[in-house]
Amino acid sequence: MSRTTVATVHTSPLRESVRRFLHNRAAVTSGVFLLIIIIASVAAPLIAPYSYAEQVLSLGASFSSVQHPLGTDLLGRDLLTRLLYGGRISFAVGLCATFVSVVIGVCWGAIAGWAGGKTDAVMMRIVDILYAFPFTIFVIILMVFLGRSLLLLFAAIGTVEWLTMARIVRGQVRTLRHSEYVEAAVGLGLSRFTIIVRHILPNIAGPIIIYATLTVPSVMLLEAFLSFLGLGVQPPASSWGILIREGAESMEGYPWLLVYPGVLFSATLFSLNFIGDGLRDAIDPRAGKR
Amino acid sequence: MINLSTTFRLPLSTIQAVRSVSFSLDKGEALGVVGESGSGKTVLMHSLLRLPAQPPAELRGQALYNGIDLLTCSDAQIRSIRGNRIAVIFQDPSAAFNPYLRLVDQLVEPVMLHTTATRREAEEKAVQALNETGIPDAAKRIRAYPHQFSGGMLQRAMIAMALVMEPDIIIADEPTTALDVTVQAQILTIMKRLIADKQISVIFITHNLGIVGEFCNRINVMYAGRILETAPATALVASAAHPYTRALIGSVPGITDRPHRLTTIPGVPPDLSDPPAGCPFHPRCLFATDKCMRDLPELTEIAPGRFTACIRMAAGEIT
Amino acid sequence: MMRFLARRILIEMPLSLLVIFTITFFIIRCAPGGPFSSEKNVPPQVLRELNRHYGLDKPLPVQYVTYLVSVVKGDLGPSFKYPGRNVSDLIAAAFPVSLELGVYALFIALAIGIPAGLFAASRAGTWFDYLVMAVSMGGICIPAFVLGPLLVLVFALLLGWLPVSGWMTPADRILPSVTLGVVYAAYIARLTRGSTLEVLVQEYIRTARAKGLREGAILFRHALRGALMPVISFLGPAAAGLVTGSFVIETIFAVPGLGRFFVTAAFNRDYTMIMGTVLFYVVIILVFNMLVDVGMAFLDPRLRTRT
Repeated sequence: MSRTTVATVHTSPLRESVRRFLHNRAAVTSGVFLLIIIIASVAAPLIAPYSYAEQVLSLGASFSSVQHPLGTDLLGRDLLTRLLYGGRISFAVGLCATFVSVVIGVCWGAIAGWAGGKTDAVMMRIVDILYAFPFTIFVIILMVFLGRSLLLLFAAIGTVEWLTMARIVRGQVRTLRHSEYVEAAVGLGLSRFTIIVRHILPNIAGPIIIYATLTVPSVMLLEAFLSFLGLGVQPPASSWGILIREGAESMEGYPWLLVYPGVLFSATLFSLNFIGDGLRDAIDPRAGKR
Repeated sequence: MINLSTTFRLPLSTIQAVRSVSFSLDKGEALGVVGESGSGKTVLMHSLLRLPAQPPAELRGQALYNGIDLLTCSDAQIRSIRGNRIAVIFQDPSAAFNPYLRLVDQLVEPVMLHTTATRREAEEKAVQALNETGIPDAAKRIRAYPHQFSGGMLQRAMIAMALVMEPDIIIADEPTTALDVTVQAQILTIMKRLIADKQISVIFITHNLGIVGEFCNRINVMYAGRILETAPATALVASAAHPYTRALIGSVPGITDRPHRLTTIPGVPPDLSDPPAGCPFHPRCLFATDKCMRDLPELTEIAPGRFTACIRMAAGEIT
Repeated sequence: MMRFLARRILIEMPLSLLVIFTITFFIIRCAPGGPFSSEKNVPPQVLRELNRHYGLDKPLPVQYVTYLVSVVKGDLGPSFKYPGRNVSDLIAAAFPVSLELGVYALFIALAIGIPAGLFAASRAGTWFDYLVMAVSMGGICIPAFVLGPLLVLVFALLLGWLPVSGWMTPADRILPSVTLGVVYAAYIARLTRGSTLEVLVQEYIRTARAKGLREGAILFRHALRGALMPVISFLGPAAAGLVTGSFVIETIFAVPGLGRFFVTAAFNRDYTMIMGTVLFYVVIILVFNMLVDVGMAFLDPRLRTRT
């Protein structure tokens, strides 16, 4: 006679999260799509049929054909190639700028959340004031006046997005600060840095990842927006934003120049958002939409 | 006369919250339903008014009230019964009131909904109900917002809201659990008085055996979605007819007059998405046998008005 | 409440403005070149004379203080690019256009977004819900500068129903307002849906149901207030953006509003114009944020006793 106590199988939260994520068809499909696009973009120099600067002026802008699956632009450059190379830039900006904003936001929030008291109050006050700041304007001004370098672009966009991350991180750190195991760690004499890095950060990794994943599309949107206004990446390098602008300009006669980049860009943003939502549902099923 | 099952069908699991439970309620009777968290007592009572959203909930069986089957009657019918003939007092008054609306707006709702009273008449009734629960200066206080009240006062307001239409049955879902001990006693006194005055039947849900013994005529003991024992209150407390009840009583200090060591029940309640076969309590029962593991026991009468779902108890194998 | 408002208006808003003023000022000035450097072939003497006339040759801190003083007095200075015209006048001319565009867009956004979100939440999990979610996701992911040209492509160029750009006839207003409004409608729909779902699992909704209310009444009388709170909170900064005109929309559709002025001013390095627009924009954001806070306190009685 066995008297097993019936209980649910215990799995680690990580495995549970992964399982939930994989159940989410939209997220998985998006993930696959995104992976394909990213790989294609990164491998652009290898797989692109043409060099991105190669112009065949005689062709002019032409619609899809066997040689040019997505057509050519006004200068006879192959659109597929340009899109692939554009993807590299757009993703690079997206990831780097997100990284910048995550780093700034996490540091700021962690320090504020940990220190508490006056330091916290002051730091969050600054965040509050900056929240009212029209960052779009700020970035535009920055780009106009301080030049068009790619590095500056990363920095500028990164500084726009860090605020919310800081708030989230600070909230989490504050809560965890007073939890028992942190107090135990403090009692054991671990340095503040060690505690933050080894005990607190892994626990807030969840929201950070989620928010970072959702920041990437915002950042890419901002970059495309700037490029559209002529302030972002400069030709001959192309980002998707530039391609969209060129498409919009020549849309009257050559609509595909707008439609292809536009659709690709939107689809990428879609995927990123679905993945972000999927991650959020997987890691914390109670948050977000039910 | 009630016999029902409630199952929740969720995307990743199916939970049988209430499994084929039967009981009945007489007029003017106070029936206690006792059980730990997860025993299904709350789900059972909410199912009576079809409160759980379906889907994902599935209600099966019958719940007869005045000839109407609450589980299968039309939406309009059940809505006319809710708040009107059968009312609910919820557990946490600070969460159960809408924080954005004044108390008066919420208290007049049942009246305006179920009768043709005007707003003024409804307000008078509401104030009167509030008065009866002992809230001073009711006419003025009713215009306040829920967050401006203490827990005890809010619970009185909740009672008033349940009583304002003078229902036949009140379902009190752990009305004192969210309150301080001193306030608990006050609330219970008020409830007893009001119910005695108006001859209302009460279903009193709680996990607190001490309270239920004092307040109720009869007690149902629930566990893992089933009723394990039914008995008159005094009889149950004096000598329980189910190992689970015994253990429960033993774990409450001071409930009987004899000093005793507090018992604990080893193990954890079963997972209701995959309940074990046989008696739900058998994994934790000191008296379990092979038969207990196989057959799902039904309630059998062992004395007038006393039922138990323990086969061994019923057969007199244990006392 | 009054004390809260007073503190806001007298201390916090001016402080924010000052900070932003300073930051913007120094960024602009730190860049090489001035408002006249892109003029073709201006002889150096004339350049010097122009700079002197506009006070640009004085040391930076002096310029800062002078400008600050004049701004506080209400004078935003002359525009460098449009000689003889004041920044204030230019803003006053351009702002109403953006305002009109913003109001239309806001109306569209609210009229579509809130009902969509509410009904999606009340029918969560059904095809309607998924439809709303998918469409709103599209609204968020398809940037205005893609959607705008696409709409122009379809409705103006292919179908010929609407004009391509401009802001003169009533028909001109449709495409820009719709483009701007749709994006915000998507955000609002998602937000409303999310917050409605959160409200619907609150206990007081169950109480309402137990009193016998029908589902529609529950939605509108009990759930709505709570659900709208985050939406209103979102509207603060969003409305400010709407009202001052989205740069992109105005650029694409050639709408002579504040946003386009700003972009042009930035490119032209028209210092005063840039500063004027930035300050104006920030004031509007701050005012809207304050209105939102007041509105929320008005709706949620629990917020009223806090200072």
